[in-house]
Amino acid sequence: MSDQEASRRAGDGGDGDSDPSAGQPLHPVAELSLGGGGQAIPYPALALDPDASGFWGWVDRATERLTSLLNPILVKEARQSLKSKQFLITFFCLLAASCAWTIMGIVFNAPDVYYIPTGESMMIGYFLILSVSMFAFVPLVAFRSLAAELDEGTYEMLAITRLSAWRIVSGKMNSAVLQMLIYFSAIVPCLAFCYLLRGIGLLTIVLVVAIVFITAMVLTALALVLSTLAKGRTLQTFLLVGLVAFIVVVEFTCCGFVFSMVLPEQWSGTWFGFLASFTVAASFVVLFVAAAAARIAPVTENRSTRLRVILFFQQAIWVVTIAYAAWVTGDFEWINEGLLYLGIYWLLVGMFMCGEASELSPRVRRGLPATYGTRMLFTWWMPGPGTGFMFVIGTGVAGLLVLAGVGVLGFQTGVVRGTSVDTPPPIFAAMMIGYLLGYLGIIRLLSMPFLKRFGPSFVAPLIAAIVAYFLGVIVPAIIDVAIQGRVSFSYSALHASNWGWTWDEAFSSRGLPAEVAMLILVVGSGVLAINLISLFREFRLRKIAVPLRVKQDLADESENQLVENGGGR
Amino acid sequence: MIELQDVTRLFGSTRAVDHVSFMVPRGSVFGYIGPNGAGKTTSMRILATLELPTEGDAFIEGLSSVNDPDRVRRRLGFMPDAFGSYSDTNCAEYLDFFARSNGLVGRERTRRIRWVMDFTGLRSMAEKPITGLSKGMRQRLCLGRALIHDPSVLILDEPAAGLDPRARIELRQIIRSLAADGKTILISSHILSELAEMCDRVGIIEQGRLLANDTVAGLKGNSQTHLDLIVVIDGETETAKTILSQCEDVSDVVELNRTLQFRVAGDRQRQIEILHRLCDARVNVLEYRVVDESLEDLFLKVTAGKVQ
Repeated sequence: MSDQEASRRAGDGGDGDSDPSAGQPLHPVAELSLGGGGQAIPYPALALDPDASGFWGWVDRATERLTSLLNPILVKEARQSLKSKQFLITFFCLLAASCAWTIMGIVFNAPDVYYIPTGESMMIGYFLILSVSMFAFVPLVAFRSLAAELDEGTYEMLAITRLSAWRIVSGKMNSAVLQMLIYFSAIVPCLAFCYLLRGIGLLTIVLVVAIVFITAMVLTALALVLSTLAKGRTLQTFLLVGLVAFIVVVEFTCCGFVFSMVLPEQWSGTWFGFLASFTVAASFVVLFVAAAAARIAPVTENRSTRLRVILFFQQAIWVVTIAYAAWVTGDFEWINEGLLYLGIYWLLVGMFMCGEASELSPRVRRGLPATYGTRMLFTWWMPGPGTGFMFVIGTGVAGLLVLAGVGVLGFQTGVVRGTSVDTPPPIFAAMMIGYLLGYLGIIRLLSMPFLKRFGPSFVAPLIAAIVAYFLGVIVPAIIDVAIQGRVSFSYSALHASNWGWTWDEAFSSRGLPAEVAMLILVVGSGVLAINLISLFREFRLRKIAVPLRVKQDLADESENQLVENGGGR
Repeated sequence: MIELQDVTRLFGSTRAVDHVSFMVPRGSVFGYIGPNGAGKTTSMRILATLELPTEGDAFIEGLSSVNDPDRVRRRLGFMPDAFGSYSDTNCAEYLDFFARSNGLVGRERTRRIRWVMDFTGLRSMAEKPITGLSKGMRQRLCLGRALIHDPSVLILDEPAAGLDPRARIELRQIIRSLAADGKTILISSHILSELAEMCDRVGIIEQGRLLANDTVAGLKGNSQTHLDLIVVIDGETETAKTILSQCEDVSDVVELNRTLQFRVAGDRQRQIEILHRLCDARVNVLEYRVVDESLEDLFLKVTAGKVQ
């Protein structure tokens, strides 16, 4: 039965309270029922006639049209939130706290409140009240909401509706943002009062609120990802405790930043910094939401390509931000720091991608390029640990080269110059590329047997990464002790695998010797070569039989196309 | 129409579903039975686009669950065996939420919610929180959720679990009516006697392999190598017992209150011959009938020893 037919059939029945057929069954089968109905019982408000006349009928229709545009998850969560005790208690606690702070502020500042600008000190309290309610409650509610969906089996019922995993998770995110807005609305009068007390600018208030919002959104998105990792109560509790600990750290960090930098208004001229920070934070919100959606999406869906696109754009944002900062300040330290964080970012992302499931629907597999070479080069965006590895290597190396290229261009044009560091960006980039190729390749090789034995999981790559990074530090020290009888305190090529020392050396006034950077690059390339050989199995040509039904469908489709084209002429 | 085409699903080295193929024509009810862990739920989840088959393909209304999951979901109503509920949500809000999630808007959504409430008898419970519902009422709500977007195919995993006897009878009628309305239904249940009455065909699965796929009558016919007969006698039973003991193909004669139960390793013709012999010996036969095999008996017979 076609969708149109389904809609028509659904529309054949009752037509509201004013209609004579109101409440009549749509199908003959509705004459039977499981009992417990009864025509005398009125329908609930949600099933009332949307075509009712009069002013309230118009209001009903308008709100109905409006809510139809919204994400159904948002509608459901909003209904649940408004009835939940937790939300009401938090909201009234926030109201009470802001009122109490206002009264206390006036009492303690009286009678100076009339003469001395006290807006800044009042803002400290409002920031604390808003940040605690937004950082502490909203992410935890989001965590519990998605975890409960997965725990209690309601997610699977959603998965077979028209809602995609992305819409489900973004609906949870939207609902969290709605809660934030409700909490914010409770404190808005206090912020206006704060502005009237003078001593704080409107832009500063806007900036503080923006910091609280964006931080709360990042925490909420992170909570959503963590909730998808929790399979079982024990791990869930463990993750929840970890999340709470992280929230406490973020709360203190945010307080420190706002109290020392933002409220004293020492941020003049750093608008680009704020803008870049907000953009990067927003990109992490999108990344975390997409990661959560990928975690819960049914196996029939492609769970990787969207994530990879986001990672690609995140790198682009990072490269542009760092390039702009280096260009504006004229200091190539920005480029080297940018290279360092970009390399660490791809090492981290690559570690997760090594544990990715390679499950692809036969349809997608049938459409993949056919040869080893084309598969290795053109299927990076598809799910799989091998494609993920190639994606991270390809994109990461490209990003590092572009950033290093910006540094070189800056030098040539005279815009950027060295100040406190003596490692030129190309050398730094070579070192980071070497580490990315080498360490990620080793992580992949170490975790492969475990992934094959126990199935896709990020635990094996995580353990492999810890082992690899630890060995990278400890092995040179052991060699030092074996040769010299003690640990050496002067850096040499022997310590190239010690990433921490190498980075420290690169940022020191001595700078990283070019030979060491080249050594790291050569070793990394060797590890990549070994990985490319082992990747052969994943990228080798595998013919997927086309089922008879699909062949028939394709033949029918092409026949229809021919008919349509013929008709068109 | 529902179709599984040579579907295999591996979990590690375990074959949850092993080359299973069957087809359920439009408007018919297919009973899917098997012990716990036999592969019923995995097959149903593959059809419901929640799992990918390792091999083979599954089709709903001719659309592949693997290649076209989005279009399949629009035509599919799935009722899992476990019902998850939302806190602080009532029945009307629950149905409204799933109607929205299935893309229903405006009047169409209102009509469907009304219809489902009437159909499942939940109108009086509309404003009650789900967490306060009995298991039977939750099953009704779950069935209502599966029907909210008027799917042409229904996959019901243990729909009768938790329903009281009256509601079970009504559910049976409703499933037949839904099938008569053109809906294709795949249903699993542990209450085999109910399946026998409502299903057009039955599939028996064990350890991932489909052991039988036939009508209940067909299954009985295929599996019967003997007949169990009951004869009720007016008067003494010694003559009858003697006659029966003289028949080589009669075994397992049991007597209880002038009723003899015995097994004949033959067909209907042999059954008639034995009756003639009893009557010729002037045994007063009050009742003579075949003990009908239940679906439970058939299930045990089909699954015993085949796959272990």
